[in-house]
Amino acid sequence: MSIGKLVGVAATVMCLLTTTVLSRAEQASDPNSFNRLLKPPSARNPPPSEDGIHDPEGSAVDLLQAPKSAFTDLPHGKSGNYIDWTQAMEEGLIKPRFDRVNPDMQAVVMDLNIVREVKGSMPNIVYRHETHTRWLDCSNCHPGIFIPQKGANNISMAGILLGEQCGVCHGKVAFPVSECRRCHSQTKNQEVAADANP
Amino acid sequence: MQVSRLFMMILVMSAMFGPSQAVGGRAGGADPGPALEPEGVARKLKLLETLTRSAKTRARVEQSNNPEAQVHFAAAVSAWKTATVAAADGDMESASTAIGDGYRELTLALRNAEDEPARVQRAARRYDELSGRVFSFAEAFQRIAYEKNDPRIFGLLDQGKLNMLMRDAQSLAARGRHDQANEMLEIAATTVERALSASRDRETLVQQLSFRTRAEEFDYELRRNESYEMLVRLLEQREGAETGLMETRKVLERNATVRIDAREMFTRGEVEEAIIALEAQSAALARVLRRSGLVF
Repeated sequence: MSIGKLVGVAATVMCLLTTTVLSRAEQASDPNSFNRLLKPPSARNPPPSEDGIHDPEGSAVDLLQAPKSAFTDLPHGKSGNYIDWTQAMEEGLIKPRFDRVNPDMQAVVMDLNIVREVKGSMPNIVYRHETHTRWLDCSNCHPGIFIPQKGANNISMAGILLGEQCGVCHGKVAFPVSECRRCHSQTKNQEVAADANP
Repeated sequence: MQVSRLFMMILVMSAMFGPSQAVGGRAGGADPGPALEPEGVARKLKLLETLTRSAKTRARVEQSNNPEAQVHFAAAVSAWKTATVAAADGDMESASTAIGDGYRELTLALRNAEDEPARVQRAARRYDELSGRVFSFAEAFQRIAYEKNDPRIFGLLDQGKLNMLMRDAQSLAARGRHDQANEMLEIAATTVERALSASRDRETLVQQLSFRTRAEEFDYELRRNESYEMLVRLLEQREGAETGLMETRKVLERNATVRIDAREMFTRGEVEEAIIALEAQSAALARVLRRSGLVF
């Protein structure tokens, strides 16, 4: 074997070794490498056969569109599957059916905001019926989860964290409670007008 | 032509000519909905074919001996055929519509294929749920109407029609005809929901922080403290073996002590002191959360 070839082989071996050492080092320095909740972008939204939800042996599982290709042109979100679904609907990028079997059924959209003052430095909560009623029929929440009467519901973050009240959906199928400002959106120095939409 | 060959042909066509618009893009003309990619339509068509050809699905429909289930299933198969032809002609819009019809018919077929006792039970449960909903919403509407005392608000709901629908539904349910009763209640529910929506249109209701008694405020502070404690415990689970964790644990231990003390103070009648103690401790927990990087 000539000297040139020897040098080439040695260089290749060195490259391989360096790459291996570097990747292990990177892994060791990456605090998220063992944290299943903090996946890198490349590992998010796996296809149905690999997502741990669908049956990988199912006959039709490979026919379902992979989320990555479906989500390409949708607006980015900060949590969950990293799509801002509300914005996607507002921009007309998605048009979900309101009813499974009746194509003519339309949502009864209610434009009513509820402001709940809270103690301490935490901004007040603004609950927007409009955003919710575009997706959900009234019966999803009323009267089972929330009594439709002012002052009739004792809402607490502890309850929400335990999966009650707002936590029935938020943290499961809607954005999690780590996004405080999405609900606690009215700062204390803003005037609270009884007849104005914030 | 076999559907699998057709599927491949559509995929090849889409690869050769590329998608005319991205999935999220808007179609031109009057319809503002998302544009239709041939690949997406082919995928849905293949799924519909799989579902309608499934031996398990067919057996379930046939064994139900329910004529309605069989009619809907036949309609699903027919929709699949229509979609196949439309897709082959390149008419993705018609194909997509037919595919949608196919899925709907299949849903109705399988719903009707339930055995009779299960179907009756489901209808009865649905009746209870719907009547509770209509009653609750009608009550809410009356409260709002009397609160506003405005004839225009009263005029938003035809109370006579609503009462008639509910009466008829009750009468049908009493005779075991829950399916028909539910149809009437669906109309009643939509009617009262629309009236409710119109009665509060573009309003903001403010739930001000005011307590009728000091005991109520104490209860609020306890719950608020509990919320912060739960958030800090979640943080504790995420932190590694660092000094931060030791400090967090100290704050949590202190919090547990303060909660016990606050309850004792409340029992002794020292309500103001109990509230102040809880407020201070909740603020300490909030500082721990902010130090960890949570912005609020």
